[in-house]
Amino acid sequence: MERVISVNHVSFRYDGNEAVSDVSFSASAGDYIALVGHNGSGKTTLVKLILGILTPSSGNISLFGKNVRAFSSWDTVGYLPQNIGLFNPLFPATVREVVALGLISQKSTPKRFNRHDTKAVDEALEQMGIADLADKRVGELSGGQMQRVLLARAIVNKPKLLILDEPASAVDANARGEFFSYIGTLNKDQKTTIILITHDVAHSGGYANKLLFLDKTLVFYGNFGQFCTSQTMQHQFGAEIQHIICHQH
Amino acid sequence: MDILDILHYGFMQRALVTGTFVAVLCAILGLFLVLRRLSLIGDGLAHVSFGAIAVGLFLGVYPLYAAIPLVIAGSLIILALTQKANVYGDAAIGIVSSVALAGGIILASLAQGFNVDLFSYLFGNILAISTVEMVSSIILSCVVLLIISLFYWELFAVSFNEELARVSGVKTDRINAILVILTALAVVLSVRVVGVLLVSSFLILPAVTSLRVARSFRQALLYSAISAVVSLLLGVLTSFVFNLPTGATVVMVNFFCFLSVLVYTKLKAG
Repeated sequence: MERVISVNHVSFRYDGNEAVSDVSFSASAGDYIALVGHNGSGKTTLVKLILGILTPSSGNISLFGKNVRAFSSWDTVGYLPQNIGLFNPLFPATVREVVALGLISQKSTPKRFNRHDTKAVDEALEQMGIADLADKRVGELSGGQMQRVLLARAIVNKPKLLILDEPASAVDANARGEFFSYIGTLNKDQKTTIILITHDVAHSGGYANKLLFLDKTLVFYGNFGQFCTSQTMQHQFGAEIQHIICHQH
Repeated sequence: MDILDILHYGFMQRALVTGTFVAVLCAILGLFLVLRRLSLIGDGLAHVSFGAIAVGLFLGVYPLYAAIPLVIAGSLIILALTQKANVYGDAAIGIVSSVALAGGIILASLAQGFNVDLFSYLFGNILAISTVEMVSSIILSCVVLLIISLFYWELFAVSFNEELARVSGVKTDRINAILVILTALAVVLSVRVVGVLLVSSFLILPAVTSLRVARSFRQALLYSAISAVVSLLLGVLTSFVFNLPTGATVVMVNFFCFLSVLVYTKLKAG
């Protein structure tokens, strides 16, 4: 099985405070990992380290066997960030233009788009159920619509690794169901490796096949069989919640 | 005297041609700067250009030739302060611009003879542009516009969201450096047109005008350029007819253009 992510003894300090401490784990093609932990436990920081947005204070990270500092095959990676509220509402771009941004990683400068790219954008918009919004300005969208647009941007490349930071936070219950169903299909049919940050630990067993519990350091990483028998996790969540999570799985 | 008579003057032709190229250049760059909340870098680099022009006059070098490398250096120092020394962007602009301005004032004081020349750059004089200056401005504007066209998607991606751009393989540090170097060139070219004190308006006003009405990124670039050119042409001709300072009149027309679009969009929104 292809090794997609390899995190080796990674720590990250910010203004003297340790945000991530000595974390090691690896993920293979087809893994669907729910990354859980309390607020401030370092989940988003860990994801930004994996993506090379932040540089570790110590340790190293590889993507598809290459150190992330030297990694260049960004067309194999899709990313949906957490704070969609931080996007400038006056930004003058259409939904179609934003989704097309997801394709620039596979093109050399000067980047030019062709008919295949237009088709890929149309398909991503269809898959996210937002084809009717294609020519709408992004500033006019609701939080849920914007999240779908950014997800379309993340998947338009058909990435091998998809990292989603609290993707369902701004969508309603129906849309959430469709969303997880679609991500599950990507994982099963195309063996896309998924890392999904979520606060909803109770439901994570319903879609993920592995769970990574972070509290600045790695507290637990394994499949749900291991999770269900872990005394550490029973101590963390209590026997009842642990049972619910296992039952969902 | 009608408009056609005015257009027969060589100085007016040079002013309109040079002004149009510089206006388009600033309007397009300004959009990227405004969206990245870097509008004031234009103001800061204009102050740097004042110091750089003083250096040129002091050394007996043609001022704009001295200004190009020095203002580019200033822009890269601002970038280095923000990226390497963790100084906030606005503070870095403040540091570099005030040091350059102070240097210019000291040089002007030491070499009292060129004060009149130096202060003419504060307000610009588009009607005094020579043929050599016009040709240099056109060539430099075309080079800058070509570079923007080559890096269009990278600049768009970084303006939308720097983290997402990085995960799309965009070398964001390189794109930021390109953006500030191009801005430095645009500022130097604009100083002759509107003067040190008004350069930032050339970068900011057309961009904010277009943001009120544009529905796509390409539209925003187009509207910004149109707004800048219309303001430039109206401003130059109005200033000539009513004997007003040209740079200041162009800026005021730019502002009225923004105000009209603002009122129109507010009324339309009900």
